[in-house]
Amino acid sequence: MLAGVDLDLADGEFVAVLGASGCGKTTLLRAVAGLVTPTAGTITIGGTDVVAQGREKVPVERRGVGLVFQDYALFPNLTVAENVGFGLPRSERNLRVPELLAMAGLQDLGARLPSELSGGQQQRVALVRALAPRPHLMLLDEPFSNIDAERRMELGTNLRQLIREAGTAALLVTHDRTDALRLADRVMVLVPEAQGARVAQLASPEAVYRRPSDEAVARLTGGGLILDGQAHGEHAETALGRVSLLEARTGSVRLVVREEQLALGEGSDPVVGQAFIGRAWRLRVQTAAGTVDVETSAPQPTGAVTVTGQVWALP
Amino acid sequence: MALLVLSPLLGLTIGLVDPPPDPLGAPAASFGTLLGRSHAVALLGSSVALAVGVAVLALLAGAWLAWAEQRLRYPGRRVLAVVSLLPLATPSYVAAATFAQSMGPGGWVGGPLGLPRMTGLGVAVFVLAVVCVPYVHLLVGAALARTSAAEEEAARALGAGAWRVAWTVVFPRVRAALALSALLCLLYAISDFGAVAVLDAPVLTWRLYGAVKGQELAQATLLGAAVLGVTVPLFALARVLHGARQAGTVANPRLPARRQPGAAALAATYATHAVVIGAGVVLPVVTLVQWVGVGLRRDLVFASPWTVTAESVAVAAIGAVVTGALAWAPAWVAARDRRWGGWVEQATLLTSALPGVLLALGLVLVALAASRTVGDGRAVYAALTGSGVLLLAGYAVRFLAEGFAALKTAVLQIDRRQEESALALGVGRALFLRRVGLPAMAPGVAAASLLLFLAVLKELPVTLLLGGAVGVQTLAFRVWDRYSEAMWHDAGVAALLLEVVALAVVLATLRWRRAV
Repeated sequence: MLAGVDLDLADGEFVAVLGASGCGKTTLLRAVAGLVTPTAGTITIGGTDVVAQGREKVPVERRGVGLVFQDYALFPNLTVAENVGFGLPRSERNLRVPELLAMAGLQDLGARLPSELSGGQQQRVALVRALAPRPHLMLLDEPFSNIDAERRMELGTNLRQLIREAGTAALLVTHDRTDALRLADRVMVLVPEAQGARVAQLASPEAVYRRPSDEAVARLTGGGLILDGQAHGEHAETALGRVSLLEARTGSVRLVVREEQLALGEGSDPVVGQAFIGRAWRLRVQTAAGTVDVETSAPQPTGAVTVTGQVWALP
Repeated sequence: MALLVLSPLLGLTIGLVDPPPDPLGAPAASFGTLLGRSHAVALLGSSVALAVGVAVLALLAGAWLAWAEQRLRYPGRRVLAVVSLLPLATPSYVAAATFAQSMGPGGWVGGPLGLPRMTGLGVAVFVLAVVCVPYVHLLVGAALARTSAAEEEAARALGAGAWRVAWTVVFPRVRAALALSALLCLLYAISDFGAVAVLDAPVLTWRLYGAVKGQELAQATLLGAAVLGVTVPLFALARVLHGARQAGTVANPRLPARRQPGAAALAATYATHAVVIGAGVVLPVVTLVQWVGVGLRRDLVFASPWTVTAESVAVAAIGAVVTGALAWAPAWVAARDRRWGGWVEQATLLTSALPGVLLALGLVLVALAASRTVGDGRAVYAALTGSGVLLLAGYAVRFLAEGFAALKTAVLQIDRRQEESALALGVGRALFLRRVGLPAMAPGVAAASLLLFLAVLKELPVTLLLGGAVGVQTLAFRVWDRYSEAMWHDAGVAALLLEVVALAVVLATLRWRRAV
């Protein structure tokens, strides 16, 4: 399914794997965890080969990885404190569990059962439970998928902070680009292919957003449009007029224009649709480059879409 | 309805308070004499020993099979798992009869090996345990299938070894299923009539049958009360366990990857499969075929199986329809009414816990009490028994719970949201039920009818005690009758016919259960 993955995590580094559903990103995580054995390749954790040439060397229970599942997989019959202490030697529990609970802001909930907690609280329990045995590596499988949009931001910051305090490297698997971009030090973008998926780009969040390696990465990492143009050094001519480029190019190019780089001025292109989305109006304009969605402060019957700032020409 | 369900209890109460007169005119014995003569205390002891033995054996084997099926990877797993459920189809008296004859001195296994006579309590424990294993296997297997793989994987990622995962993560999730199946085995063994009768095991139900058959109604009432005293607490406990809510599941159910078992685990798994399939499926079928074969070879005269088959099918069909009709109302209420549903369910299920012999005795006592209050008592009693009313009442009370459970599942197939949308669309409830509700329920109702049909077809104690006066012969009756006369070729034909029907029904419902 998934081949050609080559990833090195530095100590304390946070890497997000971004890809559409079913592209094999969870399989990658499970292979690192030791829940499936890859057919080929080598996985090294904390200096030890846990998989070498497609052979399992170290089973999951001795790999020292922290695992946080999409649905948290808390033990429903154990209390919060017992869940958190599960991976600790008996002698350490009394000392470490209160410390971990306090770290997650759960100090008053130790005696509760998981079913008595909110989704966000369950997530924090799952997180400190996985952090408790001081793993070399945290593996996070879509930990925000069961959290509503408003709480995601806060919980994400919280999770990032807890992992940073623990000083652990982390691998986050997600299909949500916002989560990947705001939490990770580096983002690995997986793009589906006929047989599985390939690693299309591995770079900083800003790089995968501003300078995507191809069209598929551009679409996965953000909104906007792909615009054809003729480059003449620092700028290019397009159906939406002249735009300036991040890097000088010549000849025909495909440009990645992000939503926030689009603006609507006075013009004669017809507005074919409009919707109020709260912070602004989103207008759909029929332009020479096709229909383009652009945000404005007020609706208007006609206009002209312009591109502001510097845009990226796909290599 | 309620009267019918409670009538056996009513009958027993009347019998205890106001003992029926001895038909032979003997003076009523004092309670103490009766207690001594009936050996009630010793019988109670052996009944309990039987039940505990059966439960322990069935639990060990059934739980192991469930675990192996859900968590291990071994050749033949799927086929062996399904075949190991087939002892469900074999009535306990057929399992016991074939086991006793084939393993005994004259049998095809016991003869060459020089084994002793296969009767008594120990043999009954083994045979009933084999019959009970599939129940444990199904219940524990379902609980294991509901346990999320993520929980086991999380525990392993936290460094827990196989034993710690099994004890702290898996066991709590199957504890309720284990307890429930233990109680079901205890109830099954205490209530069983067929196997203990065939094997002449000295337990309550078998002696109770003898007392009823011999018209010693005072003694029968006493033994009946003893049976009741054991079953009701067990039943209550089973209901409490069944109703107890598990700690809420937090993770989505997903089965973990199957493991390659070690040599010892593999040997234990194949050995358990071999014993269950051997004693519960192969031995009965081979022995029955052998009985028929010997009859053919020696040119023995076979009783025609056709009349008895036709009568069986007729009785089973009528019994299924009557029971299904009576179970329909409580099933509907239990599935759709929150307030009364629970109570209706408890009352209906109580009857399923009572042994058939006890139900039959209760109905006889009620009929006697009723006929004593009217003018020509003897004629009324004869009319009640001879017309088959008492027999059908016996089937209905005995299998009400079975029909109830299956029909409730069927009623639950009607989606409440769909119904509400139909009402919101201005469509009447009747039209909704006809166009959407009935098609949704149809498979469930069919399965329920099939189960009830099979249940009545296999039924023995009620048929023996209440069917005699009607003069009908069912296949079950034929097996029992010919086996006790050592006419094995005839018993073999009837039992094989019974097995074929039962196997078809069990396979159909297992498939149906999987499809839902």
